[in-house]
Amino acid sequence: MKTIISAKNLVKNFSNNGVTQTIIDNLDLEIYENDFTIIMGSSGAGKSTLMYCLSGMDMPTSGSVKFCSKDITKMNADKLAVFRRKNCGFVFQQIYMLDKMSLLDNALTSGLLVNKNKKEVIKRAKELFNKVNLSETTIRKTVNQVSGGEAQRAGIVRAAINKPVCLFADEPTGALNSENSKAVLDVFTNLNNDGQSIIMVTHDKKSAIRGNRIIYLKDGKIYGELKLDKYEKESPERTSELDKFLKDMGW
Amino acid sequence: MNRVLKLQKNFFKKNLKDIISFSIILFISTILLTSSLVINNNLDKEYNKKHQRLDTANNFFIISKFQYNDSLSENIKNIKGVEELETQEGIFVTIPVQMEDSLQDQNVIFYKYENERKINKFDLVQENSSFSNKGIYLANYTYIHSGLSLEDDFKFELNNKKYEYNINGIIEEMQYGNYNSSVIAQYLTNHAYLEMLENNKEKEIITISVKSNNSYDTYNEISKYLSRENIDVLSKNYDEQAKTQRLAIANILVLIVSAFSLLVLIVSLLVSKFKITQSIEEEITNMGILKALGYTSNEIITAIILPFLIMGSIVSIIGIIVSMYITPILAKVIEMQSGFIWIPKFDIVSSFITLIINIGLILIFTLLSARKIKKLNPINAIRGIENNKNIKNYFEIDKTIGNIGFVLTLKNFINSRNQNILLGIVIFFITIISSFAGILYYNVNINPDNFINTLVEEHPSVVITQKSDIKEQIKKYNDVKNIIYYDEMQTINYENNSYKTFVSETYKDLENDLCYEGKNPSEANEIAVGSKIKEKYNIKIGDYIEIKKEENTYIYKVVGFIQSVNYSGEVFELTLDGYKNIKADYEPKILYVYLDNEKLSNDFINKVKENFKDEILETVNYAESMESASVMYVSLVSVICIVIIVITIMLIYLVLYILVSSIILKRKQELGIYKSMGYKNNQLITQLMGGFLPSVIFSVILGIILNKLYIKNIYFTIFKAVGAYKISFDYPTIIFIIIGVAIVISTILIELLLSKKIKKISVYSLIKD
Repeated sequence: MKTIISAKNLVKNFSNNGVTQTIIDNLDLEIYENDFTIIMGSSGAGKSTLMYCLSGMDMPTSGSVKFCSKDITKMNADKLAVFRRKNCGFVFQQIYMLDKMSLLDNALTSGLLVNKNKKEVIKRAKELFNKVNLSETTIRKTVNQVSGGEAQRAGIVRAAINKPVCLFADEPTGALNSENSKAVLDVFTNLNNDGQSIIMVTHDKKSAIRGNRIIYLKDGKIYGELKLDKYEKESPERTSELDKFLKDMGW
Repeated sequence: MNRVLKLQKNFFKKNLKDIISFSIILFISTILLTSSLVINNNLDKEYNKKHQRLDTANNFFIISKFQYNDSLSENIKNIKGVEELETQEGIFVTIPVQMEDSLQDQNVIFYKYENERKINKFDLVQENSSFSNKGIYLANYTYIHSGLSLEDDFKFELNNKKYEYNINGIIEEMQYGNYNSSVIAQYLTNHAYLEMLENNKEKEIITISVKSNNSYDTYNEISKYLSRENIDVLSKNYDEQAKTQRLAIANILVLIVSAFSLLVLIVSLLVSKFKITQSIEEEITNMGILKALGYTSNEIITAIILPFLIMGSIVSIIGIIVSMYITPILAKVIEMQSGFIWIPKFDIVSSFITLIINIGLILIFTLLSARKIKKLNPINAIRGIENNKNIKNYFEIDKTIGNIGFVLTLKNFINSRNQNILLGIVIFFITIISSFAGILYYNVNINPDNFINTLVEEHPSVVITQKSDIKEQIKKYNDVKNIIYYDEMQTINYENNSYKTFVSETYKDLENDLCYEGKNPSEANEIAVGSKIKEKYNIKIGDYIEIKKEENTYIYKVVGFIQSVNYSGEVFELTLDGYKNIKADYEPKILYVYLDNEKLSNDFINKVKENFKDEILETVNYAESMESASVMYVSLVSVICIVIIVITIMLIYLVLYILVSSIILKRKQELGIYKSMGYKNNQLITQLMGGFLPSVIFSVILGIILNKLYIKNIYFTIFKAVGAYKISFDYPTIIFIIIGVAIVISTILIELLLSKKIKKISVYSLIKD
């Protein structure tokens, strides 16, 4: 298995009114290519912080993060920006779309940053929109004219348009109803089936079951890890294994 | 009411920086507006008050002593309107006076200081502790510009004799107190006066000062009388004209300051309007919640406009107080130009007007902006949607030509239209006022001849008064570019009034063409008429008018109209042959010499004096006089231009600060999304700047085009007020371009500086906040 991200001795502290709080506590972690890695844990365990440190969205207090063999903790803001545009895609819990643009323009804004060939980018965007079941009419609408699920699927298209090395998702179904959640998770599953590496932070078992590797965080450390590769997707064994793991973790 | 105060406190805290920016702009505007109002309301009043307190006469006539006799005074006393008459003896000479860094030839009347005066009194504003029998009391105007102190001596040379006086004191008087009427008065002790008179008997004059109940009519009547008596009036004036001449530049200054203060006030109001509109957009959810909680629209509106009103009132009061310290500085500038001492005091009327204008306009503008709160539906507001607000996706990326950076900049531009409108209006006004200042600077500092030509008459390098004709001999000199007979001192009669006339052998070779309509006379039967005479008698080009000189009469054809600031438009132009029609024995005595290099005027004068010692009566270094006169204007205009530049840059900075800050705050999340996609700081800064650039460039171009088309009219209106009908200004396109480019570059640099805030915010915090 090829390692795409490697974190060593990762520490992230936050200071508030002179009180320092450790969110990530000397953590080592490797993320592998083609994996659908799920990060779980209770509130305040450091799930999102870990994900943003791994993606270069946030800087750790100490330790290193090697992404495709490059230490992103040593990069300046501009280098990180260029690195992110080529290697990372982000899907957030809130519908963080550019609200004065259509869904298509949101995707193109990201795509054209990497690939200057407009025709190619438009073609790729439309293919992806097609894959996530968003029609030509819908993708011409602005974010306040579509449902939350449609907007979030468009967000995935925007995140995936540059074929990133890793797609980061921070509780992507957190703000959606069950129907929309399923549609969004299906998109992630399909992308992973096509070889897209994904790291997803979630509280939700239905989301977690989609991953093949579950990392459970507690107090900023990896408390447990579960591999689900050997179980068929949507098989009862996979579900019961996850249930058992989460029970062991104190979920 | 308590909860409204609580609300407004919250709004105030949230928008503190923007309210401070608004306050700074309003503060500048208040100072300028109050100062200009104080000057506008009081300058004229205080001038009149001093005029009255010093019992200044209404009409003045200077005639040669040899033409005067007591019956003349008696007859004038009988003229209708004359209330009081006083005569003063004096010596009327042209002497070089130290002005700024050079010598300026000035027409000076020396009076006896000790003479008893019932009218035309003066104030002794400074007195030397030691009195000198051989002393002089200098006019305040001369004292300011000469750079002399009370310990210095006042020196000059007249007819090859050196004169040197101790300065006994400084005086201020209301008639010949500055040089704008081309005559200035100085006062000598009895001893010094008699000593000077001994050598200048032929220069002895009588000033007839008259107090009258109808200044202008009496002035005309006396002029007519003196004309009938064939008396050559060396100089005449009446109070209103003297005031206009004296305060000419001051009035231009007040006009510029007033216009600029209004511009700054408009900017501050636009800023307050913009900020309120922005706040409503930013706080729409909270407003929905407040409405849902039961706050009425009026309570929310009050909470929003109160901080602006309270700060506006406080800042207005502070600005009014500060203006009390600024106005005296402006009054000092006016004093420098007019010689009129005035110490402005707190003026309740001006302060009240400023306060009413500020508070009234803030109230109107803020209410207009805040009224949309009334229409806000609470549920939509909670959802963050303004009623009927459709978000449109402008410039679809797949359908718009250009790379992504360009298309995003276009989107930015259209999505920031409110900010762009505000910025556009501000930049437009700034372009207008900067171009105005730039053109003024160019014509006063870089090409001062233009300014001089507008305000004075013909100005050669050297003026020679000859005893016998030496014109042809001087013409042969290598350094002489041209030499012309030109005389400003002749008088003629029209409609029973005595007027000055310019007499020249040719007008086409003169360097300052005074004709603003029609043409200068070129034939012996042609005449050009001054603007004031034209208006008074409703003269038209093509009319025939009868001119008298002593017993002779001739009918001339009016071919043009001329301006004359010094003679307030009361002057004619005749050719040499034309003048001989009414004064056949006239022999031109005054030569206007134009040198290739004016800087060598002194050398030329020395050479001429040496070669034609017996043929020359007097020489005047006119070039040097003009240079020293222009130095005064240069420093005044430089101060105005520097103030305008500083305030302009400050305005751009403050307005951009509000715009850029509001955009960064409003689009914090949006910028975070861009950063998460991998957009670099510089790309985002460029997009932000690029979004403003079209409106800046458009406003600058529009401002420049309108200025280029109409600036002449603005200057015409301003200078017409001081009697200049022909503005000899150049309006070089390059000046407009330089100003336009400078505004655009300053805007870009300020935007760059302010946009750097984007760099300080991490991607993570952008999304999380």
